[in-house]
Amino acid sequence: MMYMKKIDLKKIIIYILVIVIICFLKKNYIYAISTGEASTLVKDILIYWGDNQVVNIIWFLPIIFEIFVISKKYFYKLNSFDLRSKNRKKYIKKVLISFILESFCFILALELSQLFIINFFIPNSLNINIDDLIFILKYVIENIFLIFEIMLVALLFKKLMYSIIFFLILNFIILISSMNLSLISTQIYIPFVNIYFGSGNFLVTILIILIGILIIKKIYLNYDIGGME
Amino acid sequence: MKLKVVNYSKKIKGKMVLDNVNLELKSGNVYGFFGRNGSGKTMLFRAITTLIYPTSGDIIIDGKSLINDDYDLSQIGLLLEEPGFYPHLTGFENLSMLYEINNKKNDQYINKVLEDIGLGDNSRKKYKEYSLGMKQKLRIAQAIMEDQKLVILDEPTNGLDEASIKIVHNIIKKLKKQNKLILIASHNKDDLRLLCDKIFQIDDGRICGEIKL
Repeated sequence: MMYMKKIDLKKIIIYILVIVIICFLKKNYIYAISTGEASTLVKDILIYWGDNQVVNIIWFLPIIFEIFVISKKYFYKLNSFDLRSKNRKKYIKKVLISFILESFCFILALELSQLFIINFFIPNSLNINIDDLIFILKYVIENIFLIFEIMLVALLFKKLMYSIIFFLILNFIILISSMNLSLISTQIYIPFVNIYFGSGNFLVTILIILIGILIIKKIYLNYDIGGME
Repeated sequence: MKLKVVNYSKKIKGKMVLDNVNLELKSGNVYGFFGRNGSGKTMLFRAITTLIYPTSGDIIIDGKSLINDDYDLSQIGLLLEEPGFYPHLTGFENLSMLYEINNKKNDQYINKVLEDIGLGDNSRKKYKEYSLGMKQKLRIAQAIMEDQKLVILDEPTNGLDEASIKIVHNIIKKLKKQNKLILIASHNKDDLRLLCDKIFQIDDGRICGEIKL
């Protein structure tokens, strides 16, 4: 009951509005980038990278949106430890479980709502099969991973905004380099970026998340909360 | 409860913010910390609550190290920074939320806490609509509402009017009678003079000794 009260209705309405605007923008370009086959449409709605940078940015908007919403909330949580949580070991466990569950639900809802809203704009365009569902889940995990990495770096830098900008630029550089300049071999596993090539092994991502949790625990347990007076 | 700060030093970015602090504090007493801005009062409270970790030294409560042992910090009530209140929730809902962290629920008790602090009439008002003084009262309420053995209050009377200051003073006196250990940092000499059994002067992260105000 109390958990429901934490949800700010005003925020929810703004989020829905943002998603609808993103979907409307995506809908305008979806015919131009898609081959028209129903089986690839799910992937095309969620992932696209082409020559037109404006279109690329539209496809990156939901990712940036979820990064801001989730990472901001959890970075703030990690920096406002409440003594009622008894000690930091217990607190970090609670925060990480809550982060994984909430980011999974939020990103999944964001991906599914994009699919359904675009299906509303272009009626009966979607035909979701089991492969699509696996793809959606992989994509959600990759996105959780990206946010998790940002939080990890933010704890090191002690600045969330620097970390978000750092990671977005890094991902753009890797993406552009690997696609256009062939500087980075696609054989190398690059989480998140790899999903854009459609061959990501998400088990590696889970493994990296687990290693990250250990690192974050180590950093956080010796972390000074609050700075200079 | 016996709180010991043992040879505690903390260096941040090359600056010594706490320099070899030694204290021995016992429950049933109110201890005041007086010093100018940036003297180290808040940093000392951050250290005692392990929000910062020492460069050297230790904090010991009843023989247990807060740095090395898994000490239960929920026995410490803290007024230091914004305790993560939700602006769109009422004062009552915010306190209930904090109370529920340890799976406790008692609406009647929360109402009583709010009444005692003088927020009874405004308990159903949203936190974002609270005045500065009301916000401060709610912060104090969350620090004392769970019968904590050690209560740490940083500038407790900031932003409060005369009547509210009196309420807070009475609450602190009541906590003392309940044999709690209370630490207060303040610029306000009256607060410290009226409430504290001992007052320590802090300057440049060092305890300069006891003073009379």
